[in-house]
Amino acid sequence: MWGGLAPAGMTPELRRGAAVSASLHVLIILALLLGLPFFHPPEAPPEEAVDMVFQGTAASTMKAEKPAAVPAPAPAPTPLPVPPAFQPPQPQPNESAPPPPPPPPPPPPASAAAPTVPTPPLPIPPLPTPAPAPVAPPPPAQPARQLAQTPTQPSPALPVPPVPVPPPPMPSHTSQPNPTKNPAPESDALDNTLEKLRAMIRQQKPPTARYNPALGGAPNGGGSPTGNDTAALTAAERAAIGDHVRPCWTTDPGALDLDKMQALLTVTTDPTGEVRVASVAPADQGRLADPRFRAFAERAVRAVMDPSCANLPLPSNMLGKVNVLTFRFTP
Amino acid sequence: MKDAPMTDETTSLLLPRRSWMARRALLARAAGAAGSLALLPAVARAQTPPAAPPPPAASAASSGQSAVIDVNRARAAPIPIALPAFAGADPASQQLGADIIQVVSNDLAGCGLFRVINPQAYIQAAAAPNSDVPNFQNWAAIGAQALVTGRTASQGGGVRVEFRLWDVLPQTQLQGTAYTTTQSNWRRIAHIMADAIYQRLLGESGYFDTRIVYVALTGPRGRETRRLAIMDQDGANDRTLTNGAWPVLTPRFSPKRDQIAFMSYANDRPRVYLFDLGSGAQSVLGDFPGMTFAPRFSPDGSAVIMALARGQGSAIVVVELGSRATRQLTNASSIDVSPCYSPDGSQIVFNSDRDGDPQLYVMSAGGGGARRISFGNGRYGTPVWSPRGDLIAFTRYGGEESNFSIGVMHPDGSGERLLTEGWDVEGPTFCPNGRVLMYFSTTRATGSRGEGFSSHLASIDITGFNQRDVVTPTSASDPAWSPLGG
Repeated sequence: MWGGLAPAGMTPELRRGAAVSASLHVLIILALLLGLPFFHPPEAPPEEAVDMVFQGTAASTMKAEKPAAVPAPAPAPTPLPVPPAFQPPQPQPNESAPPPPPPPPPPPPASAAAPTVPTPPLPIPPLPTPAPAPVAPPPPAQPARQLAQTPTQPSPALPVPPVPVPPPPMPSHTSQPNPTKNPAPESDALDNTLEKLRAMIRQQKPPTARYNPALGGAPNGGGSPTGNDTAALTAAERAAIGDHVRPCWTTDPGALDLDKMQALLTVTTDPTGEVRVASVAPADQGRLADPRFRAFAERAVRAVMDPSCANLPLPSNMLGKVNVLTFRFTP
Repeated sequence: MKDAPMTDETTSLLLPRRSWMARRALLARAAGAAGSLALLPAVARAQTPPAAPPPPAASAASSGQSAVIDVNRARAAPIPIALPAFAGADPASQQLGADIIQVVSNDLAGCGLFRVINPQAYIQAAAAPNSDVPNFQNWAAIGAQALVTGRTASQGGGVRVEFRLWDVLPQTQLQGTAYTTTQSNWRRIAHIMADAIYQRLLGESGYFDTRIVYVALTGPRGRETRRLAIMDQDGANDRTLTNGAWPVLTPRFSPKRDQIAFMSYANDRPRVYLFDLGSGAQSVLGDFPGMTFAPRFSPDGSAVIMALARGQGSAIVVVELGSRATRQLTNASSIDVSPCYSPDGSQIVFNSDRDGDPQLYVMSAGGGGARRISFGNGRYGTPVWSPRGDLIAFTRYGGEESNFSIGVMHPDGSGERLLTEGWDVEGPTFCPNGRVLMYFSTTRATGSRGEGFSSHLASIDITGFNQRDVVTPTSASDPAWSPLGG
């Protein structure tokens, strides 16, 4: 049957090979046509439900194992307790006493009804009073600043010690990828580029900037390591602030030893320069047991908080942030 | 008696004014009286030198502050205070609260150290209910630095008065106190409240809950009836203690008891007497052959120091009230009068003419070691030691062409200042905290029958800034201040 298809010049060997090849092709085609409809791929094993047990809260599981290290702050002053609010030391439970259960009325003095000489009624123990109105809340940054305050001895005038370089931050899983090995200068790999950029940004040397006394720079200017910004003011600026408060500063001229009185106040201003909190400075709080000094210091607080004097003429570079200043009131 | 009496310890009934403090006249005048009306425009000479502020550099170093903002040269100004009406559950309680507030307001405004804000300026007519914190903004807006709120309530036949003192700018409560007493005692409650406010805001005890004993003068000039009288320091509750049958002079309050020492001419025997305010009983103090006068109690109230006339002079003697034992501290070679203890009882200031003119001397409480402390022009008399010990007040007479003056000096004689002057001002007495002097002032008669003559009480604070007249029902002289609560 295939002999008619073979070319005329084909040798018998070729003719036999061509027949075998044609037969094999026919068999393969038949196998495919007949076998494929019945071929099914093996089915995937069914999914098995797995019980999961959550351990810990989401927050704890999301937290990095080791928090990113915070750069060490500048020479850490010993944290001081926040100066207590300006309160008279004399125990007056009524000033902070909570809710007002009506105090038991004391028995009227026996002699109160004396016909000729009335006797003074005995004052009952101080009233339990409602909690006094909270003092105007300090700006958020204030507590930190007060914590940083330290009444240590004034530092030597010159020069300003360089700010210590904070130690390099520890790598973080979230913010700091592993350093790339051998960042090649000519490499254009993304990691190498980022690493070079970080190396350029990181401060490798202490700052070399210094205050300039010729231009009015203060020895302790350029920062407030003690949390007090008074040193950042020039003498003229301090005098201007003192002049601004003076009209509100009054005393009792007949007070005993008035000429020896002096009160230091710690005053906190808001970003607009307005006094928000004023209290007796820690150095003078021990003297509040003296009623005359307490009255003197309270008048000083009223002076600096008087609405007509509380808006201090701070220099523009001190506006926009909370400042802590030290005032000294003398008669 | 002629024109001008210089009473107090030495008195002045018998001598013309210009001979005051002449040597023998001093004794003869121990029958004093004063009279007349009208106020003299007294001159207050406040000479308090402004305290020099410490050098900024030095004080900065001493305070340990490298940089501070100095505020100095303070003004002398009163504290603005608001006194809204007290709350009350019923109209009677509300009226009582209004009355109390009025007395407190008068006390505080009268001392010159507070400025009571006119209620018409209040943004809110009354304070918030007592249990609430006031709306401080409403009070700061009208310039108040201190605020007093309170309430009154009837309670079983008595009254209960509560008050709270607020510091408006720091928005803190400074004081909260309640008093329970009888209805009739409301004025005293008001004075006690004013004292509490004064003490808390100024740091010194007050003087409003006090009384004044004085000599009330009635009748035509030259024949006045002189009675002991007593009143509250604001002039209320005035009443007389003696019937006027005998002239009385120089009453002095005991610092500890309801007792008064005074000089009386009873039975024509001029002696120092004790008057018990509780019973009204009188008793002569000591058994002395001569006239005793110018008494003052010791600071602890256990003794009375006074002058005793002997021969041509007078001595200073002390009488123990318990044992009635007497001690003589000076001899009678000169006229030593007007003794007064220092508050600690260790020294005595008195008036003596041992150097010629009457001057002030200080000696130890046991006698001896007298040293002169007055060296100004003129003659000095009626010294009185301040209860706080820092000053001695006196009367000074500069001479024929000068007026009388009342001044103060330090116990060592330094810092003499004249606070007021007038045709005749004399007899200063300190209030319990030593901040105010009360005295009496007489005006000169302009008519042949004594028209225009008057005698009245007045007060001035030790700075000389605040001088006020004290209203009494009749003419008055010889005031003496009681201790606090006395």
